[in-house]
Amino acid sequence: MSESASRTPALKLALALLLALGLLVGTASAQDPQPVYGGTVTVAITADPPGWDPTISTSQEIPRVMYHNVYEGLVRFDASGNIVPALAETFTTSDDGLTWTFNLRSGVKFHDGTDLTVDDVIAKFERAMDTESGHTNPAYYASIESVTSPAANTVVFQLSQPSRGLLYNLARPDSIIYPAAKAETQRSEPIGTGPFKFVSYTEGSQVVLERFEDYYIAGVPYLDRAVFRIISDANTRFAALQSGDIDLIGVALQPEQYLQVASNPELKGTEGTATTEITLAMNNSRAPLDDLRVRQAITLAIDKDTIVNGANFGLGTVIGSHMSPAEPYYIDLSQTYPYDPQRARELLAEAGYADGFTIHFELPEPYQTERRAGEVIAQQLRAVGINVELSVVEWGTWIQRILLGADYDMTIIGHSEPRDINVYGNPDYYYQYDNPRVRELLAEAEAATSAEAETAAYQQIAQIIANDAVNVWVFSPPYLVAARQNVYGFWQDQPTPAIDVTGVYKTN
Amino acid sequence: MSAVTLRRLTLGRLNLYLGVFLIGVLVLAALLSFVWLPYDPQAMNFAAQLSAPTAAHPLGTDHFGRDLLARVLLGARSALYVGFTAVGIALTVGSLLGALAGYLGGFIDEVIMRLVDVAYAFPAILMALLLAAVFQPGTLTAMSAIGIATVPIFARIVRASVLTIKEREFVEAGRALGMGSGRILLRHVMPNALGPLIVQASLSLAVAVLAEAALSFLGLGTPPDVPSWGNMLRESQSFMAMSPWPALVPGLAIVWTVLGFSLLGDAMRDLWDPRG
Amino acid sequence: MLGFVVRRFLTALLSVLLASMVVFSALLAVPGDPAAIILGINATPEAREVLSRKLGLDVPPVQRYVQWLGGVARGDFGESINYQRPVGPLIADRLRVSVPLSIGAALLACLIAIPLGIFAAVRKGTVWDPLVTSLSQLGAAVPSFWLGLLFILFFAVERRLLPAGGFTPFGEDPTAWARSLALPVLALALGQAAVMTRMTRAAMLEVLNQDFVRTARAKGVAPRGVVFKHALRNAMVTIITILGLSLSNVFIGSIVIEQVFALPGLGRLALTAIGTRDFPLLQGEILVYAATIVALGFIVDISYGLLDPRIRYS
Repeated sequence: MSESASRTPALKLALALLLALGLLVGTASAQDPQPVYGGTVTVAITADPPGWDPTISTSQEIPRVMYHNVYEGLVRFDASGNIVPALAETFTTSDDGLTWTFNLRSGVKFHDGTDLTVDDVIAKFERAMDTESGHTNPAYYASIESVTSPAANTVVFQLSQPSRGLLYNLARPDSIIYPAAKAETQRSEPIGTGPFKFVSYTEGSQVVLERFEDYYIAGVPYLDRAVFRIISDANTRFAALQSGDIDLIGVALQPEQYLQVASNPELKGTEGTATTEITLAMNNSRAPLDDLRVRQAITLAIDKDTIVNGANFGLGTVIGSHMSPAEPYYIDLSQTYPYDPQRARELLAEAGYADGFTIHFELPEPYQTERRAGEVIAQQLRAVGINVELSVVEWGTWIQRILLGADYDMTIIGHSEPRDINVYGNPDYYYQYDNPRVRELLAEAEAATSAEAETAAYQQIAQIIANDAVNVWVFSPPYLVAARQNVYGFWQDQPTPAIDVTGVYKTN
Repeated sequence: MSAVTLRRLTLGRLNLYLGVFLIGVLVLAALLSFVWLPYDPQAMNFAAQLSAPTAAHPLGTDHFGRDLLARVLLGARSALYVGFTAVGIALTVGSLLGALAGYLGGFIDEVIMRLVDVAYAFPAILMALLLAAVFQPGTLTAMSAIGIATVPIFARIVRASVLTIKEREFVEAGRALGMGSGRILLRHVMPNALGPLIVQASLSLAVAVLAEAALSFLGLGTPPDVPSWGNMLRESQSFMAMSPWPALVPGLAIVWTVLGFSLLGDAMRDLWDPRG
Repeated sequence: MLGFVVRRFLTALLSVLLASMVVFSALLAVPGDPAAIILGINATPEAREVLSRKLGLDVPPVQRYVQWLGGVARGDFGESINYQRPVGPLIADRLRVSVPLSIGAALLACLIAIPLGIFAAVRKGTVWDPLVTSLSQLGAAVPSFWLGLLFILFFAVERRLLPAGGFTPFGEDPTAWARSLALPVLALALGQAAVMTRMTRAAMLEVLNQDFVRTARAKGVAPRGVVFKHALRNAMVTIITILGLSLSNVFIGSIVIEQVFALPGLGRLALTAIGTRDFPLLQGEILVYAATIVALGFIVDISYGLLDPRIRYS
């Protein structure tokens, strides 16, 4: 679970302790064998990323390899999703929440041998704040007015308004820090501060990382090398794990593959939380979906349990709004409109569609979970008289026409960005949902003075959008990992899309 | 009749009989699917996912519990539809282009054959992907891509036929008698080309069915809720370790169909050209 | 002879150029722009604009095409929008996979098909001919990607004999390189061999039935002498066609096989390039594909010309 840091010094200590514990223990449980130093672990990933710089591209394939392994920011997520110190040793916030002071760790080296200085940090955040620079997600840093260094090893953020989300954003992959002098070449020659340094990339084949001897924490990492092999086909990936060609699959493991792990004595698997919501998105501005009763009817016609059991082999949690059980403000709203096809028909008739209507339901080609869920949904909707025309859309077209152009009726996609419920405040987002009350609550959450107030605001938003049946949030799939028996220390939850191998070790 | 000749004739006939049988069953199955199916091919039954053949489901079920026999029958419809349409388009367009090129000769011949070469040089799969991105991935784009890729073969056959006929005397004679070019084409060229065209059509049908399967396998063919054999193969991939049937059944259906069309094509070629 | 070669070469060049123009125009008609795809699901209109400008996408398309053409003439294929690396080396990297795969499969297919085809033709009338023919009919009917999947299941998962996918460069480990290509080459070659066996057989039969063969036989030349001295030489034309055709087919068929075995070859790169609307990369690849196939056709044509003087003057 994530926590936002508060202003008390006590928490500073707790964070430091957490850091020490977190790094040494990682995700190892009591029965795991003692860590072994040395060796190479081969991890499967699904695609080539467009370059290696997570600050110029939002592709999740970049942090998957780079986050914490190679790049770090002021703070980062640990295996359980807590925000722990990274390049910043400690930090404090002023009483009014407008001044954040970070104390940089001293003696940190970049992989090219140069020292980390406050100039690198300042250069990074100035770029991040500049909407013209091409830095990803400038909105994350919108509350920062200025970043300065009044004393050695100290960085001060001056905010224009209190921002509860800022600490979380500082832990995101976008907020990593690299040498200011080498900003332009990061995409092909990434240089960070993490326990591994980037060695080589063979396009279409693999990325190789090696232990960085001068990492500022002694004893980290355990491995000598980490190889990330690119295997885009799910079956080939799993076959490679079964044959021992690779050691770990920490992304896109299919549920049916996870089930096979149980019967294979050479493999083991874990099932943890992830921040993904499989969302049946509806174009709220287009008839007949602009009618609340129709959207409610669609929600009522869908049997989410069957989808989880039938299409995802029982792996997943039924949800009722735009949040996964991994989010700190999660509440179970799945009973807002529980499965009731009879009532669905009644509502459709009330809305004037006693004979049903025709609707185009578009599935995104690359995503198997969404496609399967979509097929089952289509059947369930047909059972209440809605004539669903299914089609598969190629990814580039999906992004252009559906996401950016909002030219669609219904589609389904997994939203895996954590804490992205704020999209419901954007009337131009592809849901085409316009509710000023939601925007008010978002602002309240951002400016809240306590974690409780922030959570309450988010929960209100979740309730509102659930009641408005903006979309149908079908389920949240778990984070599934499969590994060879002798691999330990990998993340079992997924607070951010990263395959963190800093705590991984391999016994013989 | 010598023993050798007899054996040769019988074996040659075997091809024909087998080919007719295979395709005959296929066409009947496709026609039957319009009138009767053992189950609703879309009906999902999660209690019977990935089951092996049983009395209730003679060919087993897929990952949604859908009956494989019903889906494979429906797939026959798809295969024939795509195959015949694509080859039909290619035949018509190709013949036209080939006839024009051969008959008119010169510059137009060059231009047409260059365009045909471009189509030939362009892998059908990439063409299908491009079309799928411009329009929608679907049956129509798959058919168009396969059709375009098949045009060159027919164009070449017709053009070759035209070139052979052009010089023959009876064309001169026909001209002398005042026959128009069109009639010459129809009465002399087409019958001459008909044999090779039909043989090629059968063979191209085999290729078209394979191509459609490959495209659907890549996700660029028929949409997900229209069962086609390529689609079924694609979805079955992940479940092969749990049940081989969803992968075996459509694969065997493809082999059946492709075999049928190639045997037919070969048999017809033997008929038309007994020396070979 | 020279005139013949030159004419053929020019038409080949023209075909390639046409292909590239067709692709470029098609890509223009396609919805979706590279900047949006790079940004992915978090794309906002503002971010897209900034990135577009950075990538040079605000230049009008025709101008971009002409610029690209000029670059190619100088040997510069431009930079991939998606990978943000020069196109030339990207393609060269992929050729390391596609070329051995295609050539290996084509050679293996020929090695199987030509002897089998000749055998069947020569043994026509006995039981061997229909046996070989039926086998090749069956082989040609099996989809190569299905065969590939079955191979993976059998050899890699069940028996751990060969890797399930992925590619090891030759320089890194020659044995692993060979092992990573074994199954894909086999899957690709078998289907192709089936098709080519039939073609070889048909070509041999046609030659065997010609008058000069019958005459040689009548003169008392031993059967084997007939086959190898006269028939084979005349069948060379068709065999070369077959080789050229099989190389082209295999080149194309490798696209799907690369998917099945997760090989980083040209085919997969092309699919990715279209998916990400990567104009420069796709243009470069189409150029390579078209050039290869046209070149193969060109070589076949020239061989015809060399082997059969009648053709030179057509």
